[in-house]
Amino acid sequence: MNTHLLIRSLGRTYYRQNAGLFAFLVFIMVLAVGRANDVGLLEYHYSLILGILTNPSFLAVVAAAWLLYAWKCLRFVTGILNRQEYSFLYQFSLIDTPAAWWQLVLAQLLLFLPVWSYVLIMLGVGYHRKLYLPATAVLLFNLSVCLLSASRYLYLLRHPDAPRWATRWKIPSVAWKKLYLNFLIRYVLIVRPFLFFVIKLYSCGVLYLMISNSSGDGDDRGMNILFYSFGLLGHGVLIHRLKEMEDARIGFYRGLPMGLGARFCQYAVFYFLIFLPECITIAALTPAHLTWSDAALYIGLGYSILLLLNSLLLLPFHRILNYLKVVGCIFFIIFLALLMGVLPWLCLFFFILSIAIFFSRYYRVE
Amino acid sequence: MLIIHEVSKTYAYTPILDIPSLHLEKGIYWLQGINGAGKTTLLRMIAGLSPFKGDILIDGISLHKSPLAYRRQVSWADAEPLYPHFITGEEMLAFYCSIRKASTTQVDHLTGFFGIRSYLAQPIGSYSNGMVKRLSLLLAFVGAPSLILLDEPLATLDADAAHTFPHLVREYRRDRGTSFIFSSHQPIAADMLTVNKKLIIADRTIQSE
Repeated sequence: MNTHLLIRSLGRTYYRQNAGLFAFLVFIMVLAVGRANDVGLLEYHYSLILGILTNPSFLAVVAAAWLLYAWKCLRFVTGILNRQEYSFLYQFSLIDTPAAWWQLVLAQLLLFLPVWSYVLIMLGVGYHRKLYLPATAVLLFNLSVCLLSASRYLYLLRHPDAPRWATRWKIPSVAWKKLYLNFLIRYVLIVRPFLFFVIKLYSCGVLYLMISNSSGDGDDRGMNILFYSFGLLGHGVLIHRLKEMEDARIGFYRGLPMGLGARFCQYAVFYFLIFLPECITIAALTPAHLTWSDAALYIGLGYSILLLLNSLLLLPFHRILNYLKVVGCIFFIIFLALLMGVLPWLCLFFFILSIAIFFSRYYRVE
Repeated sequence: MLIIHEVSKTYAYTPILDIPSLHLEKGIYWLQGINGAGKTTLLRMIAGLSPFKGDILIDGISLHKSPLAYRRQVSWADAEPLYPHFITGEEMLAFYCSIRKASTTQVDHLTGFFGIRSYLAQPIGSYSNGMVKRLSLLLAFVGAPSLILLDEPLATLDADAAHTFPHLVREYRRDRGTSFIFSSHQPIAADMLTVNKKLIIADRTIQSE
């Protein structure tokens, strides 16, 4: 019964909260990569796993990603324990240590399920190819991470006043603190760093790898733009989370005396800063792999998509799913514009639409 | 001072408020009503935080026609305020001061009055509910709004703060001519604060007593 309650409290909340992120990861791991490289899905992952197991540097990078994921889980559990509605979880600290620890191990295994799913396939490939040492190292590494995480959770339950390893960001300039975008930037960096990192890794990674390896013909260009757009639309999950935080915790801002233009400018600067990694990647690819006009198109398209995704949330979407459906439609519109050769006009349209929605809907949103 | 003109509000097609007309002169008003009557909704509408049909004017400035000028006139404190946990009280205060153009003297006076100077530098996530409430009340008083809306201002305040708070309201009313509309389930002693009129929300409309 206790285990059931713990697993429901942690597992269900965790996967609901991160549904968008996992949908995005599934797309990257299943739907996107195989087709992008013109090979079958199984062959692709088989090669990828062999690469991880045979190249120590690659394995170290993957292990770092697993650690990052464990850190995300730790932050989630710490956050849950701080929430009033989950204060009953502290009752677990009254159970015997081995029993409580074991239940927390099970909960951590559940949170780590996405990693374990891939690790099990890696173990199968590793042992089949007689790569016993790296495969066993992968198993022991992830097992240790889970056991240590469970120990940390138990410690937090037993010591509610223990330091939470919270990230502290110092904003140096006083003027900076007076800007609304300060709240937004710090939310992304402090509360959603993992989501931000994954989205940027995909968006910039796909952009760099696809464009630097493309032959430059029309088909390649179209495919590059589609995958780049998908990465940018993936920002929708982050933007939705941001809006939730704004509505719940900075709702007072709407009541403050600031003009709509100034409000829009705060968002425009914020999304430009969010878009900087892509801009830097595009700059690094120009002019060696991208023409100046294509670089301008990539920047214009990317930036207008982000502004549009932000403004769209001023429309009454009661569920994230409805919002993601509209995001899917935008992807389809980009695809059509690409086929018709009117992408620059679409960028302009997205800019105008984002401004129009913002100015007409800002004060009307509930 | 405040004119409510043909205002109606619905949530998911359910009518919540329907106020044909209401004129209030400058003063202090106590908004009363049972739970769910729509007190918070009305205050949020006047604060420009919640959309509605009709119009509200403060000193002749319409919320819908001049949203910026209107918002300069009004300030708001939530019943159960929430702020991002990673922001410090100091940062929140600096943000409000920059927008509401508050003087250092005023800020010093308010931080002293609410007794929050010692923890302003801490992230809001480390505050108790009472501390967050004090911060939210302080922020409502920053600048020179002509109307301050306070939703359950005494809730979660300790006895001392609840006792001294009416002094600040009285001071702002006397020295700055600020008007107040507050909702409160807790009685406020008549010797502490003179309320010009009680406003009662019932049957989706508002009546003055």
